[in-house]
Amino acid sequence: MTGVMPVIGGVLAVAGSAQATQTPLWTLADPPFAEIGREDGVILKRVVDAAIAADGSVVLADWGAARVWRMFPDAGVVDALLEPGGRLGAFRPWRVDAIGDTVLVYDVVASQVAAWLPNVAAPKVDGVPRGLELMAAVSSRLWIAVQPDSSQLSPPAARSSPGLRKQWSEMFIFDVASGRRSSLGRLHTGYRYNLVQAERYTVYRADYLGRTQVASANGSWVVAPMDGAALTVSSQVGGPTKTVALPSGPRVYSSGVGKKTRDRWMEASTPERAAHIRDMFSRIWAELPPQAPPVSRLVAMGPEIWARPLETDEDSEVRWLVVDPLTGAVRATTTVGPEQELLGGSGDLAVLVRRDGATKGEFIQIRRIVRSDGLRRARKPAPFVAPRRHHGRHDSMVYPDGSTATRYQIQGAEKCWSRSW
Amino acid sequence: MLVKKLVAATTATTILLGSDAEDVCNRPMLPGSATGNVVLISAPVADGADTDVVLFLDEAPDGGIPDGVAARVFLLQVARAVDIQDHMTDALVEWQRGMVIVDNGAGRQLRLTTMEPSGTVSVGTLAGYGLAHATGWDTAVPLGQPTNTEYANLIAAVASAGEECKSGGEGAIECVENCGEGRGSCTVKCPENFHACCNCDPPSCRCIPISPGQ
Repeated sequence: MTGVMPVIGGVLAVAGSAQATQTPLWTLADPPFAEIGREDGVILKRVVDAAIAADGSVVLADWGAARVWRMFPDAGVVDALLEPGGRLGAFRPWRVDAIGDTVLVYDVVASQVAAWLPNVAAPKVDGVPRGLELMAAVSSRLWIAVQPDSSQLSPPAARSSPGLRKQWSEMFIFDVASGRRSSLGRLHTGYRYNLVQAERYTVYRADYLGRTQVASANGSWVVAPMDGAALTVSSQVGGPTKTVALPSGPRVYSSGVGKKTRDRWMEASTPERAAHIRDMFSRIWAELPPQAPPVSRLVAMGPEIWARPLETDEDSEVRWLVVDPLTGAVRATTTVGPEQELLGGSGDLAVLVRRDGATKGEFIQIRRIVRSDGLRRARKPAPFVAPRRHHGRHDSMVYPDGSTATRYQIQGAEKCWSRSW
Repeated sequence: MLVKKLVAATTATTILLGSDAEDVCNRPMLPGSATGNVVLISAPVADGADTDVVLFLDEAPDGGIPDGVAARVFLLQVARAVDIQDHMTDALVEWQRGMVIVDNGAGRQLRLTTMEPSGTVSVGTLAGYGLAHATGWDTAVPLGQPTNTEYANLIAAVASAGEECKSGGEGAIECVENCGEGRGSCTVKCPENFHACCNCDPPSCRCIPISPGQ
């Protein structure tokens, strides 16, 4: 089994720290608790987000396949949630959240939110105004949303002027059921680069320079702004906004930032365009702001938020900070291998996607979180055989140690394939 | 067969979205209006999950009659299956950022828009995630109700567009192509998970889904 999470001491090295504290190191157990898309016949195309509902089911937003997959790890069954009319494939999931047992999925292309309530096959679908991008669900109907503001640009030159420009957005708390929204203020959310040539004009994404990130947990939402070395934590029930100083302080961009992006774009271009892309990236380094954002990604993990510092070397392991939004404290750090991407999880399980760049294939690993602080120690990792689609009888039994095993009959042959503690 | 041809045609057709780049010399991005004959077709794409709705406008010069050539092409990308074939004569067409309104002056109005959730289909409104507008096509358009052969001819004209990205391409969210004096132009602005792709001969811009794994 690949992707073992190594343990690198228990003390976070703090450089330029605003919060010079020792934090425990959590690890992700190996072997995985469960896998999806590896040996079970499920073909995943591009899973972009994941969540774990209160009933323990793992929900995946597979944008490439236009499917919302749901798996109950204890039962091992993987199925696609049905869309209105019992169809599949029309809904293109971009973000998924779970509030209790309700699964919320956002389709950024169709500007819709679908909510699957427990024991109800068909989802409730609400439209989202065009231009509003939903970032994270705070409740079953409230989302944090941003709307890019093209009139607020920096530098304040013509919008088509060449070069790097800041993207500003207004942030809202948005009620998908009523369509009402309340402004939470304006903030810098990212960069764009305008490449102007004699007869043509292109606006490129510059997300590799960082984007303002938003995630929610426990009715609170956490914002990692582009400029600033701290997270802000706000609650939907009001109260003062908390500030979480990050152990990793302000950092500068390295020359490695964006190199992979540049090479990928050039590879997919004609020679003429590739030359322009190379030129553009060389200009970007000259125009870069002096300070990089501290966080490149936030992921809701049950009661906590995991924050990933902006990487400057994509080939190394990625360190994540575990933030408790209730207290505003950094509880722990953990690491994830460079070949994996953390998508979501709960307080006990992490959902990661592993992609094969050569085959474009990917599969999901669900791994237990081993907490070294003893507050919520994870149970013993269980050897797990990947579940398969099945049609047949099943029963279960309980072992003396309290674990359970479920037996299925697959094509006439009885197999024991799932054991859980 | 016809469906396949429609798909092939519309995947190569020209898109121009409402954009922030009005100050670039690119006439189709500016608001405007014209009267003339309109032909509207739809074509399934992405295994039928999406639909391209293409509007051909054969403009009538001031006080004149249409010349049987669609100098403007609008295209709406819709994130659901839609089936539409229509035509209007002597219609007023107004376009602005994210919106095209067609009014036949006799109580029929149609709006193509990106300002509402994509997939919204109500009386007189089609909403999509991309609204395109291009000039310089010079495509023949029937003056009356198109026959199947004439629809096929329109599709064939659109299908001649190339798929190479002269501007835009990987990493681009917006692009503009000005193809030179008398050769038209096109532009496109794309949402998340798409990249913009623009070229000429004929002016052809489109949002292309980002491939899995990218």
